[in-house]
Amino acid sequence: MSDASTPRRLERPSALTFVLLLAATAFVLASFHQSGLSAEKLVRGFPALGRLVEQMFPPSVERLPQVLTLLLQTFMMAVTGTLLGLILSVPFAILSAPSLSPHPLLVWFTRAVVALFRTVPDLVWAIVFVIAVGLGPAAGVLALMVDTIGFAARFFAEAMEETDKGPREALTAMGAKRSGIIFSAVIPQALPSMINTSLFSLEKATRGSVVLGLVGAGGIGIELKVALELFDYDQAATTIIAIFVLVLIVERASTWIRSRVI
Amino acid sequence: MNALTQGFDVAAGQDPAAISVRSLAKSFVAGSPVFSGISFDIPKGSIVALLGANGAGKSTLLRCLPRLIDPDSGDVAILGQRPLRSRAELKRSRSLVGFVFQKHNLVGRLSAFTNVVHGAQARGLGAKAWTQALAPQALRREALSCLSRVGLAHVAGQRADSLSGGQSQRVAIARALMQRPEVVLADEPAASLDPQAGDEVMRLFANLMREERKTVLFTSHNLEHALAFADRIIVIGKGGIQLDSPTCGLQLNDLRTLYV
Repeated sequence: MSDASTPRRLERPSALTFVLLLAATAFVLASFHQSGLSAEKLVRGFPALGRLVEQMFPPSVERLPQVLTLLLQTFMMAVTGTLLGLILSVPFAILSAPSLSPHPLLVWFTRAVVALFRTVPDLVWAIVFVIAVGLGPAAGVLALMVDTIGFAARFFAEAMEETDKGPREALTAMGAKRSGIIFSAVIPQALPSMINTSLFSLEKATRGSVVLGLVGAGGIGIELKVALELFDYDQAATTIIAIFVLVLIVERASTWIRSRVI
Repeated sequence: MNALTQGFDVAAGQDPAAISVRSLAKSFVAGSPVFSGISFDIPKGSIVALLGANGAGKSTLLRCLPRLIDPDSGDVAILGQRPLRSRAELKRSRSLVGFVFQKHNLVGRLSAFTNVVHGAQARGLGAKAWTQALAPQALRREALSCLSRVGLAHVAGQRADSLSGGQSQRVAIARALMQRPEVVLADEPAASLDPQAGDEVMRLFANLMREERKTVLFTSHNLEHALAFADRIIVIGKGGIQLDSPTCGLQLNDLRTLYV
């Protein structure tokens, strides 16, 4: 018998809840089994990992100039792709924000496009653009651009929707155009959040640009791939350290800019 | 026949009213109207106070005039433009109306100056009025002059969110002046201010409106403000107009009884 004064969280779970919990637990256990992870493999894996690290150090500086050139190219790809993506994210965000879009159908359509951009991984976009525009950084830039739109347009739209409606109402009351309301009242209010999202986009694109070379979309990824395939682990270590330093610098710079601007 | 039942017809040789409202009704819950059958005319150049208890529908009525809220029925004319009839008339009527809000509705991150420049968007100036950086010299001079008229030229470069409540409301008045409106609607312009700042803002607002010969309809809970600054007082309550009378001859107690 259920006591009316008993808090819901203290009541006994129903049979259905119990079955669902059991099914969820079974699924998690099956997932562990499916992954093939075992204590034996881990025990065997650690010495191999140790040997790999041993072969990586000391890192080789033989190809350091080439690595640094490719690293710069990778970062330039990230900057270009992010910038193009951020610029295009603004119209996508406006069209997908229900209170700013001219028509509900446009909201639905642009949200679907942005979701598609976000759902497909950047590596897959890179393959698509390598097929479309050929091998090289252009494919990487396009992949990063699409990936940035998928990420930034959604957050831009949310930031715009969350702005104080008062200034919009003031401009609406005086008969201002939709573009005037967006650029005078909405974007200035959403700007701190948009800058934050833009900096995260650059960090994300910098990390993403590193692996695009694996599929021929330019950047330092190809250097890493070749080094690993030729068992030049000391070369690979140089590349990995260079990537780590670049990502760290971008993240630190991004944090600094965020603290100054916002 | 009552003149109010004759649509918006104007007798020969007579100026049309600046604001005409006919049989206006609005409800947010079906069967429970906030108000209904509201009709009145406000001649050009007069200042009218709209009073009423909380929930009487003062702000809703004010927002129905430039169609920030759609009324259920009735009609509105602002200097001959009927915002409920077509989009073109809505746009024209909105450009004629300056609206001063209780909470100022300034863009806090932007300067007081840019907020005033925004007022020029009512004149269809496009991107020139989006921000002070894009505004041509003449527009910038006019915005500074509007700020001077409310005594705030010295805070032009300050962010709006760094101003006091009274200063913010004065910037909002300057923005309304920048529109060059014929009609000004003000929704409790002094309500969010302390009594002293409220008195100062209302005095400044009323003086500027009289100097400019604007037609004004303002809502207020402050009966003293209504008696001091309005030519006429309309009290709404119980879904309709309770009192519509020139201010002269009205006493504070006459108004207080309508709030009981």
